[in-house]
Amino acid sequence: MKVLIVEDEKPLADSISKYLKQEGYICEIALNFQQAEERISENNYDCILVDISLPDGNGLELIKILKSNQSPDGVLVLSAKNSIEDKINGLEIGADDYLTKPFHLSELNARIKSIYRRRNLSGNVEIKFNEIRINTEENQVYVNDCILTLTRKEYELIVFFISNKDRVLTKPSIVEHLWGDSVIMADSLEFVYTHIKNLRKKIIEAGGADYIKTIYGLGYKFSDH
Amino acid sequence: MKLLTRTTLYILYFSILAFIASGFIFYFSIRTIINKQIDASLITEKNIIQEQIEHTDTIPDFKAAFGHLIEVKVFDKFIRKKEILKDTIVITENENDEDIPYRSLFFANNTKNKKGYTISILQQVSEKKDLLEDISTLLLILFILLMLIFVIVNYWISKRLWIPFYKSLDIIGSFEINSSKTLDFTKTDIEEFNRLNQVLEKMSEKIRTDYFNLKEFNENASHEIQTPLAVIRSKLELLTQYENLSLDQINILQSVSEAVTKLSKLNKGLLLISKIDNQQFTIVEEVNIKNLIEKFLFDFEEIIELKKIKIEKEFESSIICLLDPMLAEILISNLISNAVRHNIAGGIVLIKTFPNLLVISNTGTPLLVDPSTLFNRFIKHSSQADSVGLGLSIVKKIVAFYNFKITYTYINDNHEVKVFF
Repeated sequence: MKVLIVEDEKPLADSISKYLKQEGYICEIALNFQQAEERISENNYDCILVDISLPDGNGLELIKILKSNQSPDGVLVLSAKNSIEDKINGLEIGADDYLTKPFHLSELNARIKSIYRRRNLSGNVEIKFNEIRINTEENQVYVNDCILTLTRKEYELIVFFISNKDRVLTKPSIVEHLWGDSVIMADSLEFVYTHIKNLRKKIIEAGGADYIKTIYGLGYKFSDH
Repeated sequence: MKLLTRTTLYILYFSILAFIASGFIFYFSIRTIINKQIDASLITEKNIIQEQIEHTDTIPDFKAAFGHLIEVKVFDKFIRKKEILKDTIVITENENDEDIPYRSLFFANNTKNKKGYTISILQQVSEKKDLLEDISTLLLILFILLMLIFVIVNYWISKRLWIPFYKSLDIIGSFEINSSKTLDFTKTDIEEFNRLNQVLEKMSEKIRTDYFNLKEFNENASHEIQTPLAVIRSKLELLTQYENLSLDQINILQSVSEAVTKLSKLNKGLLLISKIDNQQFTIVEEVNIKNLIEKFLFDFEEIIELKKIKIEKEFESSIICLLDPMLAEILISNLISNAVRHNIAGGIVLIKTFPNLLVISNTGTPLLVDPSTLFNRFIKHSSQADSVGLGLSIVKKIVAFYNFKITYTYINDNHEVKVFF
């Protein structure tokens, strides 16, 4: 998968790039509007991450250019501006998703994968991990081809986990993924534990392996090694 | 009170005073004029009598005119000359009748034959009371007439003269800080109104630029703070991915990331408050509060189960109100999450809806802070680590923004929050 990161804050762009490269993506960075414009005119990307406030232009303009060229690239808007107008404008002119800074890289990764799946509906809509298979169209999880009955949150959790396999997912990032950042709840941290316990139990009962590893003090990791 | 009413009232007060004063002056001057006339007629009468006595030595025989009493006396000796004009009262014999006021002339003189004589003439004057009544009635009629004219004229003036003022008032009333439309005052030929319009124009421009500057500052501040936060968070996350981290390193990582999370929540909360303060929420939609409650109860379902909290719903009627859907969500989610979060294990959350009233009460330990400060910023009523202490102050802001009302009471181990829409 090829990703273009349009972000003027170099350290942040580097972090994103580093995280995504570990996923095996090919990442390119554009630090300003002009660079971004050049890149999108020359190449096609599976997903473009666009920061709205760029030193020499507005990221929304970039999306307009993409859309006027009928580019098939997926677009994810990154914004530090907490303004709803940006969000509404971004989605209206054709962005696929919107993420407010500061975000978790794991969340970003999950969103990129989700955009990729949605954009490639003709292809494979299934996420596979050894004996686990997730059909994102039907919102169904299969273990050894048997349907796993999960609650809504458990389903979201396993998709999040597999999107970030072999990564340490911190509890706050899981909380934010499941409940959004508007929920400020101390209880939700311990609550993650309950969900994970249930999910692990269900997978094992269905004949799956125990993939969810607890990383002391940090969070959890979904991994088969 | 309207300007017209106010001016009319002032005019009324002062004209009453003026009319009372002029009433007195009127009364006394009329009295003096009447007395002068009566005196003149008394002297004329006296002169006639005097002439006859002195020329013919006889007392004239005539009947006094109506209201006149004449008495002439003749003496055989010389008397002292006198002429006195004064007010007097004739006491009537009938007790029921009032005493009648008279003007009297007493005249004493001697004839050529050294005979003294006196003439006393009394003329009835109209009673003081009658005079007063007449004057009062007259003045009252005048007064009413004047007020009537004044009100009509004032009404007409305020209709005509104040037209530009009311126009300016309408224009200012329709002033929207968010729109970039400048206020367009029409020029009038009255200098004061033109000045007023100029001041209003300048002021509104100043307010607008200040507002936009503030808005820009807010967005910039948000941008400037969120971006470094995003950098810190992303770097922390990369750091988390390293294997073989020592326990010490993990502990440091954990507390740094907790602090970053808290900081970013704090920043978001404060920005939200200032956005509400700056009236940057202009979308107004019909929001069904009941549906929102159901939505968040569903969202918090697992946490509610975990704490073994019982939800009791008494929806008497649905509440539909006009507000920004995002603020509505924040309002309801903050209230419900508070009720869940500050609850005791196995407690109860009771949600009741009435027309335009939402009551959310929950079991819980008494507040550690003064209830009146509950809606202030950074007031934490528990020592929960991830609480930034902005939730209720955001609620308060939203409530105030839409002119709703919120109250808090603690009765029988129950926290009760009422929102009047």
